[in-house]
Amino acid sequence: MRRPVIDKRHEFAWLFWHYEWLMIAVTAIVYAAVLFAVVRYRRRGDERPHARSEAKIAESIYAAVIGVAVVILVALTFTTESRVDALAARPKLRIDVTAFQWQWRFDYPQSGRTVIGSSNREPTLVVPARTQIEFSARATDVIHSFWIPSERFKRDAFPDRTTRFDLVFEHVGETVGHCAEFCGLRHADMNFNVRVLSPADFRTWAGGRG
Amino acid sequence: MSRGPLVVFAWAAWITVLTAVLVIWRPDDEIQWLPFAAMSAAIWVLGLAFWMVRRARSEVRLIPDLSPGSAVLALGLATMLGAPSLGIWVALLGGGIALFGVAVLARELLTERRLNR
Amino acid sequence: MTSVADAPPVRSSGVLASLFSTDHKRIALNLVAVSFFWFLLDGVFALLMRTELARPGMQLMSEDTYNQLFTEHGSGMIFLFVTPLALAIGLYFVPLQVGAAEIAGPRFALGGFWLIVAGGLTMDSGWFTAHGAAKAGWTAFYPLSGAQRSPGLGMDLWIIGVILATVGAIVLAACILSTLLRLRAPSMTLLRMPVFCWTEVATCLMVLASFPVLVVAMVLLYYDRHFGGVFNAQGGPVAYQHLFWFYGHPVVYVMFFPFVGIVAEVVAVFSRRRFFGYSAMVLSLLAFAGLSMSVWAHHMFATGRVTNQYFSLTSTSLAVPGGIEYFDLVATMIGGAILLRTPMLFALGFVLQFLVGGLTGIILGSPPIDYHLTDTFFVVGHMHYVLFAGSIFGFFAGVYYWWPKVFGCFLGEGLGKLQFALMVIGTNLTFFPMHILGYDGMPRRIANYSKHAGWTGLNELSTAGSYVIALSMLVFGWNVWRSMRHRVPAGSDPWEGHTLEWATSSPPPRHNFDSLPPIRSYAPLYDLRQGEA
Repeated sequence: MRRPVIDKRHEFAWLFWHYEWLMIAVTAIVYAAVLFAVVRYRRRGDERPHARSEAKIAESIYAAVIGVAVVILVALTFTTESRVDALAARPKLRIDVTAFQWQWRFDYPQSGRTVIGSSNREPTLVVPARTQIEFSARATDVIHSFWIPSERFKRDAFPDRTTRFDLVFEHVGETVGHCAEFCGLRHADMNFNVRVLSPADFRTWAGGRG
Repeated sequence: MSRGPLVVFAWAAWITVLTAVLVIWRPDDEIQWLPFAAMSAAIWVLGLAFWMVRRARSEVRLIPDLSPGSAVLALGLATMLGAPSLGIWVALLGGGIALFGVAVLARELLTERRLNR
Repeated sequence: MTSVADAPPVRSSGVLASLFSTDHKRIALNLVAVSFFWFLLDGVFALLMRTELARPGMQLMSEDTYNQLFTEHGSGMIFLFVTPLALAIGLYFVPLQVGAAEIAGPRFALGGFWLIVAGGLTMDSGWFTAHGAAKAGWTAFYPLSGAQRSPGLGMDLWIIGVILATVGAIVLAACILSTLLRLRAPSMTLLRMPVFCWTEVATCLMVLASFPVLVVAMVLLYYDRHFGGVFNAQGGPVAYQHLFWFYGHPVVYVMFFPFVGIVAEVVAVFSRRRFFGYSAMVLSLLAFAGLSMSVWAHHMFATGRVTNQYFSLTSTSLAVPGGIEYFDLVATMIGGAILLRTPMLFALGFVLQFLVGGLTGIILGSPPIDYHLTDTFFVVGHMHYVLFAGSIFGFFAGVYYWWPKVFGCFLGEGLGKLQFALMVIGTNLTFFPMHILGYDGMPRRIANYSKHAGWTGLNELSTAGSYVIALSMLVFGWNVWRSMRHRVPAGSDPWEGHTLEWATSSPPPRHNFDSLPPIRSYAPLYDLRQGEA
């Protein structure tokens, strides 16, 4: 379903914050319980404890509480995901990404520009800020993965089918991207730069079109 | 003693439910649910196998302390697996070892049957 | 009670004889020894990798060598170490814990052992070939693992090795499951089996349900490499991943369940309490094992070609049975009389550290989060917390707990505590920084990284930690050597155990039991002691 594209970084931060704090809380509770047990119930003599070994009601309630937490996490995840996976109905800009062993090629079909990386020069993906960009990713040989850490997003590039995803870059600046699917000998070198220009500067770069 | 297969059947039922949910969720992506469906069916068959052989073995039996035949047969079969990559001579070598293992194993089993009579 | 007498003419001893033994205890010990060898070898690979990765730039080796190292490290640890270990421990202790005289199908078990040995030798023989060992990662994704992109014998030998080791594991699991379901002592009903036995039930079910699919995947990959026409079509690469991960997820629970079973036994014995919530635990184990079969494509979220929501739902649901298991472990301790001997320390280490790995797993089960974190060092941190900080700590809990039973003497307590302390420090130093590195943008499976990335400090820390782990293994080795030299004899039940293996001599005789005590629950010896008190 096509909906307006949301800033993935914001979506990620919001969702991750919820998960992170829940996990920290769970860790703290379990650690406290274990510490309590080890200190309070340390063997001092020859005592033989006779405590009961079942508490079905307590355990059922506990399981239900976890179940509720699961439902909440899944609900948060599903709603975030539908926004993150969305494709814009009419993207302002289209970029074709081609991954090959072991560099990248970026084509701008609307303006006819092409950027190709080589083994001694990393390519720069030039993009306009605050613009919905639809990427089409494909590989020529093996599976690669297009990852821009600052965007909190990666998508695999396959040799047998094109994958499509949208990105919006909020701020002008520079960042990096990596291949994130092991693709052979020089996988570690398959990096690229990302330069986010203002829309006006990007139009200039693109040659006045697109 | 005969409740063992029940565990397998119960587990088969559970993974069948999980498979069914996936099939219903996305029926047109066959490669996604086919292995799961196949293996769910396989666990039902496993349960059936346990159910059909459910009589417990209560008689005393002698088995030999050593079974070199088993080891040799396993190694022979393992060697044969190298044939497509390493050449036909590997298949012959492995086959020979495997046959030798079968022979040793047969002798072990005959001895065992004789001792248990 | 079934019993087995030794065939009259042959009474053998010696290494050669022990390699062909039909005694499940002997086969299991051989398998533990062989697995441990692969652990040490693949551990050395890890040290080499960590040394290379500590600083930017290639100092020690070529990128090609690094790629072979991480491929063989991951493959070896999973196919040749932890999986066989999980089954070997079951092979030794399941017959004892259920009061049986032998394993079901002893010759099959022996054959399975030899298949795993052959598999390991085949897999690593690739190092000696012209193109080197396999270097497509332990996952061997297609097309990278195809004939064009991974030419050479090393990749073929890897595939054959994986097939052999996997078939061996399937055979062993069939033997163990048959023993559990059919060879129990007459009064040992299913719900009187120890918790460890139930973890082995779940483990064997997962092996039998998922390992055959890997064999299929490997056979198809091999065929494609030599004759083409399998995966080099539309949808081929994704099809391979479905087949691979259908095995690749359950296998990680195969590598976890027996160890949580050991931890459950140790916690109960060293808290002097029956294990808490037995029926909930059994139900959780089976539910968990079933769920584990349904989550595999959470490894494929970033492909955009699977039904993310289904797999996210099933993956996150794992928190329910996981949470119950934790509840039961902690509740066993509360109200107990805890003795902090080395087995209990390692068990506590498992409880506290596995939790971290389990929770980062739930985090990764959310696709929008996974889009950033998958294929990074965050996942490397996650997997090593569950497998090393978790399962291997559980393994050492079992080693210190069961050593007196198997060898009739104790492992040193002081050195044991030293090993534990070093392992805690080393493990957390090595693997915790990886979460930060991955979050910060460091991909996995990279031989090198830029000096401008700002990752050097944490990588140096991680490498330092790996050396501390190596040191802890040396301490363990020294402990073993010393303990076998100056044997401090242990009787049949030095820890006041709960389960039947403690009702026979240390080590147990060939036929396991001369007589069995009455069995009225999952803790028969505990019951006896309560009755006498």
